[in-house]
Amino acid sequence: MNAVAAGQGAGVLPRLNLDGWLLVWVMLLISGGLAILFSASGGSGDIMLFQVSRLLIGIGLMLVLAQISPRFMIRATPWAYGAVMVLLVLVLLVGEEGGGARRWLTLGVRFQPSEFAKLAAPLMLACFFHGSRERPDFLKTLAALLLIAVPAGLVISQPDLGTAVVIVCFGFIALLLAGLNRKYIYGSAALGMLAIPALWVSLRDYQRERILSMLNPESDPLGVGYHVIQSKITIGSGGAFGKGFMDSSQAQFGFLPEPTTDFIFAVIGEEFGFVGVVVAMLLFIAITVRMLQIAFAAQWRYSRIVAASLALGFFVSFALNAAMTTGLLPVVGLPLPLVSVAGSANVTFLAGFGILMAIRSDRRYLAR
Amino acid sequence: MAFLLGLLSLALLARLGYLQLIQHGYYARQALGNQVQGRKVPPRRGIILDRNGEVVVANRAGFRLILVPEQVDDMAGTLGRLAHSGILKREDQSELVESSRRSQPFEAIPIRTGLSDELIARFAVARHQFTGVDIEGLLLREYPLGAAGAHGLGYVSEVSAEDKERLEPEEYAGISHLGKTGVESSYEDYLRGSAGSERVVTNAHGRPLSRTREREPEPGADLLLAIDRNLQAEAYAAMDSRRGAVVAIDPNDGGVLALVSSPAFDPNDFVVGMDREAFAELSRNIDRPMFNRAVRGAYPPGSTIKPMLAFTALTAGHRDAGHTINCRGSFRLSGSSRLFRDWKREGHGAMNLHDAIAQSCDVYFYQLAREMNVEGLHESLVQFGFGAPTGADLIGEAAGIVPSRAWKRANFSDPAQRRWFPGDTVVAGIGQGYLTVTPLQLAQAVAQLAMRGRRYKPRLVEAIRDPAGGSLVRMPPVQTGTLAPEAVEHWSTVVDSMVAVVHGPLGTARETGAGLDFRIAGKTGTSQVRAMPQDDEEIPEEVEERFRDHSLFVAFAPVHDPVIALAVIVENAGSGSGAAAEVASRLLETYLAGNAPPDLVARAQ
Repeated sequence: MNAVAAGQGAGVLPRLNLDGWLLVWVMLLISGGLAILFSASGGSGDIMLFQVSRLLIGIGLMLVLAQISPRFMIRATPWAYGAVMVLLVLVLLVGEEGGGARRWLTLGVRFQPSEFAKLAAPLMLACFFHGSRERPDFLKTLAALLLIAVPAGLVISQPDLGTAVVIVCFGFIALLLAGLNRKYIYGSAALGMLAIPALWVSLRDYQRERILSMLNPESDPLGVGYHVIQSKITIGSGGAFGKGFMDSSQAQFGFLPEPTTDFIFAVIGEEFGFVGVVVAMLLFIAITVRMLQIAFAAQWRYSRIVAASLALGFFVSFALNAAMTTGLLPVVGLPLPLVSVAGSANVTFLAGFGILMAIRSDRRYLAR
Repeated sequence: MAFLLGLLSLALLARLGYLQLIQHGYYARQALGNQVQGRKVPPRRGIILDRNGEVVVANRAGFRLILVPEQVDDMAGTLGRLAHSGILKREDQSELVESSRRSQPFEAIPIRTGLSDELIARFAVARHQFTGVDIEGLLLREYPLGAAGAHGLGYVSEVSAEDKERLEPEEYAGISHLGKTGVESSYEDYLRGSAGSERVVTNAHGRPLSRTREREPEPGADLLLAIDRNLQAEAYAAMDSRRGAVVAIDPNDGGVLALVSSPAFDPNDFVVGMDREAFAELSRNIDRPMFNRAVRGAYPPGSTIKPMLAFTALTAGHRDAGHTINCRGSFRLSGSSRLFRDWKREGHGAMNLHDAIAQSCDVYFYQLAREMNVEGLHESLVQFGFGAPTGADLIGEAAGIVPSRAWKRANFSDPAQRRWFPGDTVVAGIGQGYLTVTPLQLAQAVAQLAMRGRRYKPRLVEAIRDPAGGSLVRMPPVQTGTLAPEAVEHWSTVVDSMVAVVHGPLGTARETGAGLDFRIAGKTGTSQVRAMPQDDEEIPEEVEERFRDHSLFVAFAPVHDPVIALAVIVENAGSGSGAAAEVASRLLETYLAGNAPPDLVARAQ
């Protein structure tokens, strides 16, 4: 726990309730991400401006949230959770439609409430399990599952499979951290297996196509498989050291679809090669590890569950995007945290870091 | 927890290593293949010039709309919108869907050639609606002579599905059009050239970013024709949309000066692709404008073959020039009741060979035919090139029929019909019956008369310009026959009698001769479309138009140093001394005015 100790002392950062290491890694990731985005967008001023403005909002939110005490957070959590659910319902009712889905809500600014659910679900679970010391029993587990299922279900209805999957991941991580009975883990795993055929039937055609295309993208090179094939070509053609900054032919000439959003990881691979993606990966791992350190050091059950589930959720978000881009998983449309152009998602991740810093600065957070 | 995290990271690391380190070569090639595409560069098709270097077939810059099926998101919708905006014809939609299915990957399919400026502008404005559809510049064929040149020069049209089946893929790669008829077809291999290739760096929308030539296209060879552009145009104009044909030949080398079949069509319509309706109308037309009468039309030659038969009769000793018969207006075979009428019912009276040609006495030639017999007639006509294709550089030439006993046996199944009757011989003597010739054969035979026995293979193309060096390769004339050049006297007798046809006091074409200010040798012909009733008075006006006699005229000029020989046929136009002679004299005037030495015209007066 030397890293934690490094954040101690009477510096400026502790006084502002900020965690030095987390801040350093996040700022490195954001700067590198902006550089990649500049290249991937072909130097588009509009896109850069959008991204920077949303990141600044996120950083502002992070600074604010870092000042809140976990005790206040527990009390606020049910309200926040409820508010996010209301927003999710509103999306379905009055959301902006586009590309066959309703995902956007405009209340002053245009945003995706589903992203906030990524935070709301684990926070709510942590709040739910905070009081009791013992392992959750069957009824409690069922109730917890319901707390995950409601936002996940609402998001699936938009439909937004990718985000729903991430929400479920965040929720389950929280559930596991709450000390879920192994019986239930295996049971739900078996249930999940059984649920796959049922889920398959309930999927939209384009969602099914995406999954099939992942299994065999070359079967229809210009149809749904196109994204994955081009993404693999983009990454593979980068080789060990890449083609060089701003020299991504796949992205510049338009062969790689969505180079500024879902497939920006491929641009890193093309321009900076294997070395580049490994460095990017190490940054994500560094952030995750730092978050886990904060989680392990936290004394409150609530804080521990929140910090750990946000840490793992962050990593899972990265891993899912990277797995999609490299053709390991079906393309379901997930951003690369803090790098892709994805306003609401990036604001949410930064807010999460703020919460982590608040936990880190809590006076119950003992320095040993 | 840390274990799971590490496992996930390792899986990702392994995947990235696999893609970027192990499979790098493969994906690098794929990325290159994305951007760089091999494309064929169409060659410039050779142009065609007339004997004076005037352009008769040119290339012009045009545009066409192409479609790459792989780049089209919604084929039916795209085609529907194109049709809606008038750029595409509705009826072509299903065909395009079909050909897009059969095309090579990323092959551009032409969807409309020869777009007007207005349509191009309309497309350009709405371009964003049509992903995968693009405008492409290309060279299009242009036929300044229009319909006048249609049957001689031929036309090109877009490479069809049948062409692709017939040809090797490398033969038409990068080629948009192929010659379908005429010179365009018979010299296709010279005109076409061969496609070059280039590597084009494109973006994902197929828009070229840069090009690198790998191989320059080789342009096709230019052709120099024997055809005289003015004469060709004049000949078509003189036919005035009547059914028939004109073939004019330079007797000195077989060069075809004009080859016209009328009515014709505008070959420019085929270049940009004709819509189905227009094509059906052209095919259905009762006057058959697509049919090349000049080389495929087989007509009874009528009296136009009398000079040839007369020459053979003189050289073979069947007749001498002084022998005289008495024409009473009809001829009867001994032991038969069938009457063979002369066109002049009251008869010509005393006729020697000269007069029999000049006045086109049928009875003289009925008698002569009986004496020469079918074998003699056959030999004579074959010596003048009838009964076999001339071998001219055109595709699809008909052979015509020079009947014989063997021919009749082979071509009739009815035993009563298979026998050769003496009457068959008699009618052949005046170019009727089973005998048929093409206008091209007739012109060739007249050229042979003009050259006193020397015959050259007719040809439209005289020289080919080597596309590499630019030098002109002249093709030597091909002499295909020499008939009794020593019989100078007999040739003179026949030629003199042909001069008398036009310039003699009783010549059948004396009215034509009266209007000429130079001397020509000619022969009229009036060929029956069906057998004339034996007794009934024939009144041409009452005959349904298409049963009227064909009007024929053959001629050459100047008489002693001929530069042009021609054959004219105007279908169902009655006597040869009328319509056909009129067309012929007009063409001879046109040609000689520009091509005969000036003193020659003066001398003839």
